[in-house]
Amino acid sequence: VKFKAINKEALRTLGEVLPKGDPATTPRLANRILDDCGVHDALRSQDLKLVTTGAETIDLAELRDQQRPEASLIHGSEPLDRRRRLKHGLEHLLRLYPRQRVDASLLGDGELRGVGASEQLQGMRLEEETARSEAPDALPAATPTLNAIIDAGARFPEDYQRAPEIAARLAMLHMDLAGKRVGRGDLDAYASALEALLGSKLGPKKLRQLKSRLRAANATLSGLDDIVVAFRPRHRAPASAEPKDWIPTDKINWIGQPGKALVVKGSLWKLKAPRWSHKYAASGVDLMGGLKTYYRSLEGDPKLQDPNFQHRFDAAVAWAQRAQPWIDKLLVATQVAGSAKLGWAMIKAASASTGGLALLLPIAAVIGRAGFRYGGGAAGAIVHAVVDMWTAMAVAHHQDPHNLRPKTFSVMTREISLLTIPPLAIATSLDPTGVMGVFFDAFVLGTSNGGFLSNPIHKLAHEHRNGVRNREPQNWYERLAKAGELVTPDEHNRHHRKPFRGHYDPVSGATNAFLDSIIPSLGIDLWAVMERGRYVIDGTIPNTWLEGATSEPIVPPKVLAQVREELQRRLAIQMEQAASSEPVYVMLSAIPQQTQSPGSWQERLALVSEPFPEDVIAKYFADLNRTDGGLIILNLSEHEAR
Amino acid sequence: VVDEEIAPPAFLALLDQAIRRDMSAPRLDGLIAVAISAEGGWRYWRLKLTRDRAESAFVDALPRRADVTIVLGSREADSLISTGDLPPRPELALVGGDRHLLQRFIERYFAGSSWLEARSQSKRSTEPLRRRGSS
Repeated sequence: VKFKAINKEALRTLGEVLPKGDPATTPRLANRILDDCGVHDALRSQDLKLVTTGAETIDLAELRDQQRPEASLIHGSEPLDRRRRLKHGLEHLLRLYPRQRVDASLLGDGELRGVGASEQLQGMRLEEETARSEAPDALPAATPTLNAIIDAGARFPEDYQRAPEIAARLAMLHMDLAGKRVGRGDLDAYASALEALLGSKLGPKKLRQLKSRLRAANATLSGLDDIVVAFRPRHRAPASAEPKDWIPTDKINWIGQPGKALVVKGSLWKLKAPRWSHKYAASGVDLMGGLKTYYRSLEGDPKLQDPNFQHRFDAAVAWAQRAQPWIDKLLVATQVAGSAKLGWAMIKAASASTGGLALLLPIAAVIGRAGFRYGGGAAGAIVHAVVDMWTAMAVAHHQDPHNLRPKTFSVMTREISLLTIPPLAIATSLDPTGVMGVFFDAFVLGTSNGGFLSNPIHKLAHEHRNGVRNREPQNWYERLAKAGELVTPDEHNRHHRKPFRGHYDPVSGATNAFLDSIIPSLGIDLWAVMERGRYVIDGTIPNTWLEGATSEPIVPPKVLAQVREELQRRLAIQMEQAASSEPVYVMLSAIPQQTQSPGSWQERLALVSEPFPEDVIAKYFADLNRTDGGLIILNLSEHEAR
Repeated sequence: VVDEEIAPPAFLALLDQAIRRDMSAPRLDGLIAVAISAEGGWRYWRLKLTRDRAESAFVDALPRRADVTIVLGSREADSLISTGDLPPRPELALVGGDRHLLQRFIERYFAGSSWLEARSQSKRSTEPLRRRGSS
């Protein structure tokens, strides 16, 4: 099991997905595991036939020998072993890089590493100097930046195909503007080009945002990918008549009693509001190969008739979910009231003390600010780290920081208020007097409210224009961040970049140096301990362990072995369960895409539980008559098909 | 000039086959050169990668300034494809240039893809991205 290109959620969910027999969500790892367990070998041993136009049957081996493009679709039928060994061999060569440098001045720059001697290179012929000029370099000056931007295109899974092109063309547009003061004409040209690329019209608000971003990016070109991020078309579900309360099956938690289902969106611990529903949805592949979500009524569903289907905490969970929004608001009110009460107690204590209000309040303000910045910051950082590493809640945000769901203030402060209210209550009940009492109250006030506001401030850091969310910057936040009172977007966004460790302080960023450098230098690597803890509890692989996060992957070998063992165990269970499964029918087709470049193929896989209707197959053959595609129809057991 | 009569070493033939088999755009940019000492001299292979096209060829000389240069002895090359590892006491196994490009090349052309992946790509293009929560 290699960790490259595997995001941690995929790895986490793989164990859940594989037993359900749907490796599509985790293709690479799933494929590797299937490969390791011989499933592909089993597939290859099937008698596959390719049916093309005119019902002509071509043997797959023959197809490969002819190097026909259709053959590239059928990777599963190819001998993977040699390819895999070659891959391992190349990866082995990668590991030679840190080795001792060998004098190979014969080869131009002579930057070769590995084992060997320069004498062994004698007799080697080198191309003429002019040969390199044939290498394509259409944009020599901008190539590194351009490549970086194109790489950034991979961050948009939903418009994966288009994003690199958009980024590259934007970069070329931008090069025309680089170094110039951006005038109205430039802006109009840029905006219309952007509209054409994105296929959507920019409104006046978007135009204002574009102008400010364009100016910010003009100096270095480095802000370009942020522009693409911000202005990329939001992926929307196609307009359809699907009712809003119909939800995919995998998001359903079934609670309730036989004949009376309560369908809950999201997992139970998130305490989402339950909805009574008589319909549920199922994802599947339609007959034409497209993935579609099916909906149907719950009536008559065998699940409803199952006498074992009765959730023990039915009523309690339902009422807890209904009460949650009110509890959230109550927590906010308690924090505000507690702060007001403690503040009033502090003022009374100050006026009764020897220094008096005029002297003590400014000092208390300084102490309160320190409490806000350092106490609140540290509390916010640790809670942030706990939430990030120990709950599934933040996984989506960390995989795609650009995608922030709007949340209400009370939802954002819900968890941490359970930590910030008790200190207020304790300080109020202690009611300390004298000068030290005033300072104590000030510090508690600052710390408590710093922690309480940490998540809303975190959200502001993402909404800023140098952050990643497409929103107008908040002026007051911008000023406070610039003054160093609140965390700046740049500081917070380091937390979302490689190596994904540290920079957790969401309040002011002031404690980051202490938490990230000073504490580890004392031998306590808090973040590493927490990451390891999360892995031990539920197997979630932290971002920092992934290859590419640092120069070398830092996944402990023992952990790798554990992951591998666990996944193989689950796969074995799945294979055991699949032995008795029903047969399914598979159709794999390939149609050349007329709209895109030659060699671009539209691949479809249909997997259904009934034979394909004649008219569907006839339609495929009609397509194939017009174009030059391929079609495979297999009758396999479900396990073999998957 | 490619010598048609002498078959290229298996290592180079496999590399060439992997490139030719994959018809889609490489989305990489660079020049990769491999030299293998074979009986009777050296054999060279080079791969020109642009965003849209991959050009694989057996050539008669090693490109002087390739982005990635790999030099292998015949024993080492055979061992790499038969075991995935170098032989016990390798004599000639050199690699140099852009490590990142080599890594991306391996990921691009040798990731374990299969028709299951084809299915997932189809899913990616048709299934709407669900909005996600934040912390």
